[in-house]
Amino acid sequence: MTADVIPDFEKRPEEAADVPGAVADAIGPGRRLLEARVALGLSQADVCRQLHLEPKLVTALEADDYKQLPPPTFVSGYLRNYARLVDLPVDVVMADYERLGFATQPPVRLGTTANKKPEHKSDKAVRITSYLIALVVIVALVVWWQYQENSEPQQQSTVSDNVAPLSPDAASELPVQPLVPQPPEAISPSGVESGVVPPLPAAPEAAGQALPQPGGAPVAPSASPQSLSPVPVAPAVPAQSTQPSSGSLDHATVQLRFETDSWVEINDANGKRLFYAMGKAGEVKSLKGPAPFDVVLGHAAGVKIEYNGVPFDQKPYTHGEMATFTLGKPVETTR
Amino acid sequence: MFKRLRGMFSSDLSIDLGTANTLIYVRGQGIVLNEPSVVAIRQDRGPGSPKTIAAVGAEAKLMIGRTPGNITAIRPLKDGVIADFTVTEKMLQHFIHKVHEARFFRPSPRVLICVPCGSTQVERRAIKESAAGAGAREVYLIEEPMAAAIGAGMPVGEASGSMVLDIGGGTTEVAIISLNGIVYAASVRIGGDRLDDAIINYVRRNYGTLIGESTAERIKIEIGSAYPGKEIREIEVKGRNLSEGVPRSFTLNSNEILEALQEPLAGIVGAVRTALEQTPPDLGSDIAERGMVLTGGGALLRDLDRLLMEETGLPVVIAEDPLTCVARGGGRALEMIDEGGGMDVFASEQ
Repeated sequence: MTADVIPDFEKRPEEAADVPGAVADAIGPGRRLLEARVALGLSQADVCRQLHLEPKLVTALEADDYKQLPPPTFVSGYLRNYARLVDLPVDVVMADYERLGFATQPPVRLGTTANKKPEHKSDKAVRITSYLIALVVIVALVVWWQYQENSEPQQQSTVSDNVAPLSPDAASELPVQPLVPQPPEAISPSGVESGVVPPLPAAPEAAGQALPQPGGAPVAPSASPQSLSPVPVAPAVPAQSTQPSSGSLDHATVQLRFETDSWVEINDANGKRLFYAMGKAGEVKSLKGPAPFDVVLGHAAGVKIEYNGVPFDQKPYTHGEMATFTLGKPVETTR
Repeated sequence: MFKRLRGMFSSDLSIDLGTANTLIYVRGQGIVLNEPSVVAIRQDRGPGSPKTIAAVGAEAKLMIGRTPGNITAIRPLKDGVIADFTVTEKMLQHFIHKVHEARFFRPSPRVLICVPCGSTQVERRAIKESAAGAGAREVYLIEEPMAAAIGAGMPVGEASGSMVLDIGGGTTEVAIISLNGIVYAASVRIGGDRLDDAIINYVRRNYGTLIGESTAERIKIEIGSAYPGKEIREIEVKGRNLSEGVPRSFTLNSNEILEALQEPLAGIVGAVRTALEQTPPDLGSDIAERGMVLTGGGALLRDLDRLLMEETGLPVVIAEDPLTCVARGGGRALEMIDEGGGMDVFASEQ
């Protein structure tokens, strides 16, 4: 484009040159630059040559046609350079430009061609494995929590199972046992069942287990006479299981057979210390007193216990080497 | 794990670790720190005794050339790369803490650092480890011209050529960018420091007087020019006369400084010419139409754009706020990490 060719729109500012102030303020930076250029007697070609811009860009600048121009970064630079060339204050021109709202740069989008980090084949397997491990951990936690919730009742039931072999005696040792002498006719098998067992909370179950299994009951017939009450022993099996109870309340017997040296402490129901010493290997101790007995065994594995002639298994109450338990209680719990 | 926890209380940072100035951009807050990359080190009990940091940043810069025997004010970066690893780490630590000073937890931010495109893998690793040593949770690197172009608002993602010239304190980077990638990049070790040195040498040669770095920088900022202007500016400076050994005052004008700067400026122009020669023709035509964008502190040298326009015949524009373009561009790239794109703008470091 030659310097002498002036577009039509260049004439407009000259026509409006008389309009002062407000109208002049409303014009865009292109118009202002155009006016300044014309005032200096410069042609558009001069501007193109000085700023090294293509004529179409200068034309678009002067026409405030920013859609034809590159992004705002470049346009701002062109306007600044142009303003300096025509001796206009850069700030004024830039303020005009900002007022038009084109100066705001849209955020640079980097993601147009940016691919996400390529997913490796093993990534999926690793992810699935991670999810599985997380699932297993969660399930394990839930199971553990459930177990913790139920552990106490379970422990109680376990103890009652362990007590089961002793249940005939246990039933007999309860304080509800008739301390008052009963007439002989009252002590019938049916009488025992109805009079003794029902009041006990654990006795029905214990008796129920013991009664149908006369042969399997651990109560040795030979042991029962020692702890039997003066009540005549009835030949009936139910009577056998109940008879020891009547007399063993005050004089229960505990026999300790030491296979290895072990510390033993036994207190009776009154808190009286029956035994408080180191039992030597091979020694056999027999103790009598009112049940129940609080027993502490220092080396539980090396001591065999018989309660009223019935072997007692202290393994459930053994922690490490020690065992702490109560003998002769209806429901035995560890301390 | 604790780093991740602390990271929740830290702001992501984009750091323009420059030879002259260090700028930190925080997401959502903008540029929060702009301080000289200078550290003053105190060593009270002679050589071999433990060193302590006396001052960092602007405070330390005031000490340059004015320190007593037990304090040394040093610039831990030279030519855009780390010259003193330990001091750089301490400086970064200081700046990161300064940005997070109101926080209760020790900061552990994600950090993006801009590196010169001409830096070697060893230099990049040194910068990365320095940032990690300063407490960064994750460290990303981006090449300076890419960050500068993003910060200047250039359309780096478009399929058209964009040329950026970033003139920093230690290096000048020129790059042609298209589709988020650098098509061509070159780095020359000419920057603001070289301009200062050129002024010092000129004054010594022509006036027989020695001036300090600070004075040279002041001369450059006040009357420095890259192209003959309409007016001639003058400045009065003081230096030590080499023959008399006493301080003397004298006046310099802008034409003298223009003469003094000819050599380093020719180096910058040469780098731009080489870049244009190496540019593929299609991208070259885009650049010829739109022009190139100047960023960095060197872009503030008076009439540098004019010089480049005359030398290359291309339109040259100076970016808005050229000093902070790199840091702002880095911040934008950091934001893109969370938005799930822009990963290909980062520099590789093995």
